[in-house]
Amino acid sequence: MIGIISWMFIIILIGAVLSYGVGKRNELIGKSIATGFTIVLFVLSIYLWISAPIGDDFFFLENITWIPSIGINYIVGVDGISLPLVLATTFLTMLAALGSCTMISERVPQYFGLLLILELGLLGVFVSLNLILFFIFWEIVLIPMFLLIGIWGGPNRKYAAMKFIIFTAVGSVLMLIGFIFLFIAATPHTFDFLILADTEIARPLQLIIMVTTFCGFAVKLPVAGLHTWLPDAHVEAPAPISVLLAGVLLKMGGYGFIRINLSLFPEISLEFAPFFIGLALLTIFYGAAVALTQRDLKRMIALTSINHMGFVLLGTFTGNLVGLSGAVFQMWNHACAVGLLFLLSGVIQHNAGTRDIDKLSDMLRKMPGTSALFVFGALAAMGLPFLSSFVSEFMIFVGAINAFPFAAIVVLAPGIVAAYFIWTIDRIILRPKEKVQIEQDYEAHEGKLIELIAVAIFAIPIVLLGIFPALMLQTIVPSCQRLLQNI
Amino acid sequence: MQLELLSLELVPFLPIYTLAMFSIATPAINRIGIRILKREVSAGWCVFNLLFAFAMTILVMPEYFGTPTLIGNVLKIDLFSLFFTLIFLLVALFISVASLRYMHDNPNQEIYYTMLPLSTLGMILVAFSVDLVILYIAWELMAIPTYVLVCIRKDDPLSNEAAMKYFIFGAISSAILMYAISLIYGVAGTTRILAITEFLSTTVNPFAYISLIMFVVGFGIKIAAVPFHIWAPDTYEGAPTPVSGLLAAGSKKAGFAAIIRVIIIGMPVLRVDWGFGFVILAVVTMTYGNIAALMQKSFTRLLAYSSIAQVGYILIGFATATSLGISGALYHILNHAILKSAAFVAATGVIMKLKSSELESFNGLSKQMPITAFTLTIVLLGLAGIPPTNGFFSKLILFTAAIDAGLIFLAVAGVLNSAFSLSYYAWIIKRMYIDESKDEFSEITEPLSCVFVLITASILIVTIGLFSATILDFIAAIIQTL
Repeated sequence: MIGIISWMFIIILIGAVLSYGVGKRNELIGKSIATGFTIVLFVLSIYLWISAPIGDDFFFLENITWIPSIGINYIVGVDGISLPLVLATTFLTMLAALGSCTMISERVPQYFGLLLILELGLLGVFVSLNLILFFIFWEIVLIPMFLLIGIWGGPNRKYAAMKFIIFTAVGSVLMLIGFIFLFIAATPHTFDFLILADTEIARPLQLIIMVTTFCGFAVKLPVAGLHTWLPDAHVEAPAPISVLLAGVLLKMGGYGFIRINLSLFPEISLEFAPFFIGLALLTIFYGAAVALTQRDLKRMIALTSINHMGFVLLGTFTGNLVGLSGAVFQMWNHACAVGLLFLLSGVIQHNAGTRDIDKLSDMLRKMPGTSALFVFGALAAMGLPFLSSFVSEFMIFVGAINAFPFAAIVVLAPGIVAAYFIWTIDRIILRPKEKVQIEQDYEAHEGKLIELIAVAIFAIPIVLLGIFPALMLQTIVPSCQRLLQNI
Repeated sequence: MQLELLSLELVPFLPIYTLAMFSIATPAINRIGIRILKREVSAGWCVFNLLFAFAMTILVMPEYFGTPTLIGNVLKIDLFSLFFTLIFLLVALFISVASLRYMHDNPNQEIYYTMLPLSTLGMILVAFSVDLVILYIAWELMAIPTYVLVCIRKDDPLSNEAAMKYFIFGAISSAILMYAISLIYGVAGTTRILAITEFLSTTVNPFAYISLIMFVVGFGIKIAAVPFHIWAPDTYEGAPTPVSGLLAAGSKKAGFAAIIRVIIIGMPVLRVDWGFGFVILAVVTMTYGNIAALMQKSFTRLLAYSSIAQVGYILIGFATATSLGISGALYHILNHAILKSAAFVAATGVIMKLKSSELESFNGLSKQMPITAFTLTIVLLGLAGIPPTNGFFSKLILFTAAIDAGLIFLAVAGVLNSAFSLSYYAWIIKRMYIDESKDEFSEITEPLSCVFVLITASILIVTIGLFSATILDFIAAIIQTL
């Protein structure tokens, strides 16, 4: 009697155990099993996406009583808001697993086991319709990520891993306090999302809940000021894990804002919208401005993520359909664009031996394929028309300017993003080797074919959805519409 | 008629009865065993004894759903006492199995294996007693064998110092309790808790307050609530590691059982007073425990402080004094007993093999002792309250109860402490999995007895978490019959 979503969980668990068990005997087969399982999961989520009726309600709903006395039940389901994120999770995990096959060489079985457990947590966050179930998956993400950064990361990995876990743990327990307040506000007491969505909550209580859940989501998103764990974690994590960190983990924050803030206590959320919009603008410009000054390619991409997630926050709190749908679409687009760039930074690191923008040069001649992909990724991150992030950023602009005219200033941000990406392209790809001032001896050679293929797969949805955005928007918009109707 | 009464009174007693008889018989059994089997048999006998009592308790349990039985007005067999009996026996089983290897070369083995079940019997009787005199006797039966256990390594000065400290504080605790009991007897003219409750509901007497404070201090020393905790870290560090486990996971929980019986159920009239006291104790205890734990360099000391912090969480439940709070506290008592005994068992294994309890020696443990490292990770996550382990669910109920009772700052302090504690638990996981060990890589055969206990405990930790509904139903039944 279990549905497709539960089957996905079971398959991931089987995959984790199997790839670890087999991987201990033979690393190659272990890797292949793990990658195979991620492909199976991606196919399943595609099936989920295709077979989902275009409608405004939750589908593939499963409701199993778990701990009724404290209102905890196993309820999962997807709608147009979570579906793009489920797709992003399985898609990015698949490509991260493909990319890891060449980049990870030590303690391989543990790595792939943890990767699958991470996928379990991420997937669970986006499909849970019970706040405690949501929280459980939210916390499950924490431990594998901690170990993945800490064991396989760069030179400063221990510091980055501890910083990551402390920041997010503090944020998430405060969020739990907010959930408990929601539990007490509901009659009968419950953590079930669908019941809470119909519950009227007193205003002062809403305020407390908003403040506490903000702590959890804002750290994950992250908003400027609470972001300091992000550059460290992203830079130190191995490239495939950075892909998931930026591509999916940050979306947990954006998803939380939409799913919890807007759905459960919309009045107060929209009342405070100017505050959130201000924060979003700060995040957008802060991310872009700081990215401009970076020397480490990966750090620059990490800060681009902060900029992009600011757009998500901006779109979410516009309170209109265009902005909100744009925010959801932006999460998917950012996952693809930044996933491409992070994986590519891993390829560059792996094959050129450095990620320092000042040292890299003349990639056009030495690594033509990599260069082409980097230019493509940069264009996608800038939001070039006919690439998908253009559509979502445009929608967010329209929504934001409609709701708050002062938000029009945000149209300047892509200018900064374009500036630093073009400058970077000029330096690392076009600059001839003689012009590099730093003494260096680096041997760059083209990446392996499997690496480049893994990166190139990211380009497919970026182009496809850039030309036919309706493919994705037709699932997103009805759900956003229903969400906004309740306000 | 006489015979019928006798049988009625004997049947409920059976687990306790066999535990007492079998324990006392241990030295004799050991002597006979050495003749026949040419080896120490006290350990096996102890495990059998505890297992037998455990099985018996489970067998008699269905009879007491809904109908508590009073024996001579001094002992009450209800689900509450049976719940604690199961906890104590489980902890004692864990500890005795884990000690098999640890105590193997100790010349005082038979004393060890006699004292262990006797102390367990004392804990069980504490949970059963509804009369203060019996409670006191049970309290001493629990405490005196542990004094022996702590200094079982006679030639180790650290162990002796620990025993001295523990004995002095234990004696103070008992003395204060005695004083409290005499005061309340002087006020109410009875030592039966039920009668005291009735008396207090009609009369206000200042001596009742003094007695209440003394009860809190007396029990507080045993559960190591701050500021009555000073004996705990030194004792846990100096005592043989399995015995520290017994103290942290076993006798501490007996203190909680006594608090529930005497203060929470026994003195509902003074609710406002002790409620406020527990609020302060809870905040101070968990904050102090966590901050101190962060600064430790030795794993056993860290566990001691972490155990102090966990006492703080349990006290949250007492502070609310609602049925939700008490059920959270009972649930956390169960979880903490399993988690802490497992953590000390892991420490036993590491100390046995690496001859050091310094946190440094945990570096790279995942390569040297993979099973211990993995199960210890689960245990530490449980202590930190990361889902889906059992520790998460009990903490969730405790914090929910605190908010429900209007003690919002207590819940906030609790969750912040909980997040804060993750930093030192994650630090150990970091040492085991991320750091490299200083020494050359060497394969170590992990002690089988410890590994067995750790795997059992890990399975329990996860299954109890997943089947919280069943446990919570049971705890609801306990509270109804309390």
